[in-house]
Amino acid sequence: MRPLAPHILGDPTSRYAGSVDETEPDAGIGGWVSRLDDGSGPIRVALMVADRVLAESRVVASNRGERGGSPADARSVFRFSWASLLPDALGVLRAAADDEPVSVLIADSGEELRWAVRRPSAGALARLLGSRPEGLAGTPPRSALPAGGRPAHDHGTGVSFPEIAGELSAPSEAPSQGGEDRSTGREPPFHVVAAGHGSQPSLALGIDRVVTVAGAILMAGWVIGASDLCFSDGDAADVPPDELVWRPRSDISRGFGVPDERIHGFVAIWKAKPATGPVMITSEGSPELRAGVMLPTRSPPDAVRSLLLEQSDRLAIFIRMFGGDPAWMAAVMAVIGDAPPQQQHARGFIEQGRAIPGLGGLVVGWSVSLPDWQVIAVDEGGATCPLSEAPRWNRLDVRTSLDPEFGPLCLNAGFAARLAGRGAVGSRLHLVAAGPETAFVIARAHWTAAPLEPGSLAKWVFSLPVPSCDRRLFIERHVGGLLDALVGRKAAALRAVPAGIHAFGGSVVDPLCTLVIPLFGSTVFMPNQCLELAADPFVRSRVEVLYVVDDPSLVDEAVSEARRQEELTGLPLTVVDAKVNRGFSGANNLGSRHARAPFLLFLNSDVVPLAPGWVETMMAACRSAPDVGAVGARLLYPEGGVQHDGLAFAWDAALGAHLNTHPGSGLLPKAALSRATERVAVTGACLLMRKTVFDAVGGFDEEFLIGDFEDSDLCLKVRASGRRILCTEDVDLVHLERQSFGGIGSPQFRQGVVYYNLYKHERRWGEQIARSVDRRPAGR
Amino acid sequence: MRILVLAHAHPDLSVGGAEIAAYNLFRALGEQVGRGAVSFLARTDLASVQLGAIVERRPGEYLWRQEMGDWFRLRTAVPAALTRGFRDLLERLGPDIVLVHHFSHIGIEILHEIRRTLPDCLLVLTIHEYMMICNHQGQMVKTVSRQLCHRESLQDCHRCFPDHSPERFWTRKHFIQKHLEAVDRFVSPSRFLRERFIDWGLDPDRFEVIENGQPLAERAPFRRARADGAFVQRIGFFGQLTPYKGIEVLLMALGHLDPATRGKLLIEIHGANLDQQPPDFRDRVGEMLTTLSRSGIVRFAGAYDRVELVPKMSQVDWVIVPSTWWENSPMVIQEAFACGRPVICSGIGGMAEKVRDGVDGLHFDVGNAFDLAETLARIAADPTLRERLARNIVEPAGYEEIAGQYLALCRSALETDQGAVHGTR
Repeated sequence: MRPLAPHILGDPTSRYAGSVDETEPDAGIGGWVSRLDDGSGPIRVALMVADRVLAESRVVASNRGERGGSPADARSVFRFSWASLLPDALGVLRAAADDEPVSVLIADSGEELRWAVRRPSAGALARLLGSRPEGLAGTPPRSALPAGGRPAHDHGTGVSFPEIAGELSAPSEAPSQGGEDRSTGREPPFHVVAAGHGSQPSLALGIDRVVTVAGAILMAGWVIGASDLCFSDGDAADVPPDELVWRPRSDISRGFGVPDERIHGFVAIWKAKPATGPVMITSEGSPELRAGVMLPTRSPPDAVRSLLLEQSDRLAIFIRMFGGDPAWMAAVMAVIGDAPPQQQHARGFIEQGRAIPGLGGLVVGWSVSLPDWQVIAVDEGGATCPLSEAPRWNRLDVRTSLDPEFGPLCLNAGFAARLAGRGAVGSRLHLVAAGPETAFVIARAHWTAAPLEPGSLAKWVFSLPVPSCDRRLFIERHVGGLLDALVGRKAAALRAVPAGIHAFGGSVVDPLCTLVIPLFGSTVFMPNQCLELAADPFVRSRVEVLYVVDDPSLVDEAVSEARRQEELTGLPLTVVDAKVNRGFSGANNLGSRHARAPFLLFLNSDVVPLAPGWVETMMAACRSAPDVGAVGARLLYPEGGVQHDGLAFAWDAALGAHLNTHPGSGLLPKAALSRATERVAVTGACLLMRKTVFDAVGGFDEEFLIGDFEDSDLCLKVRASGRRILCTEDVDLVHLERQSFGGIGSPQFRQGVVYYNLYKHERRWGEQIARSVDRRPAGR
Repeated sequence: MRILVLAHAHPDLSVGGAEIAAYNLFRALGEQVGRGAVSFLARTDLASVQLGAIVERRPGEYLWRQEMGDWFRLRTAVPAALTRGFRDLLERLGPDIVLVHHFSHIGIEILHEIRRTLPDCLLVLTIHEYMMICNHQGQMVKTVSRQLCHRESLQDCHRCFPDHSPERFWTRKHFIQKHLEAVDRFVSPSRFLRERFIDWGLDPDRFEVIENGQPLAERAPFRRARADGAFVQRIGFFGQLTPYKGIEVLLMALGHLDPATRGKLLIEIHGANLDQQPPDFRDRVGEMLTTLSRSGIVRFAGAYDRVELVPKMSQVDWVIVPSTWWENSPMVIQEAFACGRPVICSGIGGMAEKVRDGVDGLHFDVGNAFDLAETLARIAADPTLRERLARNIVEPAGYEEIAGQYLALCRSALETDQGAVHGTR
């Protein structure tokens, strides 16, 4: 016994000493061994469980002479990484009891010394193996290299070499010599040696993994001694991969001690599963090489992750092939790395990322890239938008600072891009730059919450400086979907809100017509309107007047004005308190639900009749023929010119949509016909319909934003139901137009809202309008 | 025939021209058709009267506590008072004729209410100023530039009041004119005002000119020249010292007088309420008054009571009305004529109509201090001019005569308007 003998674990009479220094359940086992009588020779150690070998390794002393050359001081460091275990070992572990310890065995002299150590459970090990970045079949565990180790191995490759899987794993022990049945395939990882020694093959094929993601198949492997591969299905039909990427595999060449140039790694990618059964791999140049590979139907995320990690320097290929698939992108995003510090391919920044849970969101920022690089916005869920498809605008700040690097490529750096998907607030958001091969993250952010109220969302998105040429793209591809969903949700919620009713002056018995007058922003026109309505004997006796207060801040004012007007004029008035702001359509529809008369006359609060009899005139027109669906009225500006004498549609080539126009607007009125005549559409500022028809066509559409196009939409619905639209001219009505809308938001916002509604209207009616109306340029 | 005269104030409590005219019309009508048949209702702001209530001050005279709620559309603050106390009074008095002299501080809705409660009565509205046309306190003077305004338009009014859109001005005009449809006859004390309202849209066939009337006064003789032959003519300014009454033009003109003229004129300022005016105006006028008083050409006499007016006016040789707005029929002109004093006035509007240039007075270019200085020099140089012009003065009509004209108008209207049609156009 040597007094300086190291702390010996195991049998104290053994010629060996050693210690297990680390037992990391997540990593592996590391330690050292030393032959007390001879420190120079290699020592074989094995990792064992229940008398079965999990892994073997030959280690050599690495610190010889460190303590004065005593052989006893020559330690051989070993390290078994769990991740480096052969998958066959997994079967061994699974077979063993969970509490069966793992031991390290010194096998050189046939003596066995055991140190029981903790080990991960079989399940944990399986996950670890599924996701290991290396440690493939026949791959030496990189971590086995001792720190500062030097080449001392007889193969001249590394400190230790692996025993090839075949020697450890009974089921796959016999290397295939070809001639397999076509119907059979093996589950990776495996390799077949067609020629050469098992530990130094001259013709071999290894399949590391096959995974499936979103229907696509990825197969990673390597081949020694052959330079081509053919893939075929069970019927011997060729199933060439959509992409076959070749790449060096120095890990394999090191492991086998084969020169780099004889080994080719590959990744074969099929966008869809190429065969129902296994895929046969052959080589034209080397017919004796042959293997069948089972294709998985499902792959655990860790397997995909591992494969992508192995290909992390080729991620751009996957992004190019599968960039639109959230499952793929989520997998890519799990392994992608940050941009190298000095890269000059692409730059970008995320300034805002605002999402609506369940709907996705809008990313705003800037990006600049070389022409063969693309920048993609991606979120954690894998939703993507290539910025080449997003509206772009010039950013003077970016241009100034990046001009020295990117020159004119930094024009139009600004972008706003919609990502579909879950839009989970708080989850990650990236800009990914993808070049010909590599891809990396150039900017990171997190989704923050976007407004859930459609008007507030619109205020934000329409404040972005999207150039007019991209406006339609922006609305239809990027923000329209978000707004549509919010507008729809809001309309549905608002319909459920009950209204309040305030009636003044009793009610008209058996009314023939109900005036529905929405109030928003101001009650300033009520006194004028009521004064005239009160002076009309027909209105006083047969018309129900409903003011729908669509502005909760205005209820008090409207109610007291109604009380005052009823008191002063004796005109019975009903105020319907909408309780919430419902918009033009919602307010009118609400009024219609409270109307008692068979005719509905929708009237803006800023339309003032100047002579009695107009309601009767419009009703007579509506009754004049059974196919009359709606009746409008000529409206004049306060200065006397025509404001409305029927709507028309005009094609605007620049906008790519039909605009509502007011033919004759601003001109002095022509002599009024006493008979109502047909129009394409009429304004909702003064529109009469039978309640049955109004209900049959579904009333005013509540899915326009704030207010616009609802009237022409309603008229087009009426026309689509086979009815005609008339307009009366021999009435005297003043329209103090747009007084009630002047106060909402910035001009940019109002313009955005108009375009949003315009394109919604166009999607719905564009074809019908084009069929029935001349594509005349917008009349101006 | 029962008559109700309605005014925006009672002369017991307020001394404006319109309420004095209305009250005196009430008194004179009482003389002619019987005291019991004529009533007078005046708006008041007396705190002792409950808001909206109508109280009887003396037999046939009522005070109505009312307020204006909206000066833009001239709407009442207390609509309930129209449909309760006021309607009750109308029903109780049951007048065949209602003569409305003003609805400011009450609300234009009274016209509609009178028509609604008394569908067959004859409703006559006497218009005393331009408030219905012009939101600028009825001055028809531009808000910022102080330029004279010749006609209302939605755009021009909006330019004077950028906070009110043209459409709001449309609602103003529409609302006011809609209420005027209740009126059968319009009366104005001046042709000038009548023309302005016809331009604005009122029916010329239903619009007559009747003066406000004056108490009959003794025409006082002119003062004689002093024994030493020195003769200083006195020119009196009577009225409120507000920016639109033109006091600044007058004082500035005095600064432009040549020394020869200066010794021959004395300007007496009988005016009140300078302290209530905007600070810059008040300071400018105060400074000029001090300087000119020191030089002896101005005597600041301060405020006067109505009963002192005739004696004070009899002490001057000329009355000056240098207003920088149109005026209607300024009471001071009527009073000057009643006292037999020629009037120097701005040559515009109601002033130019009532004072005949070179006949019973002299015009000068409105707002033009140099022109006024020349006019004053002419007066100083010609001591006999005052008497020559005074001889042409036509004595203003007394209240009796005015009441007679109103009665004649009403009788003719009642005859022609059988089954009355109401309308502005």
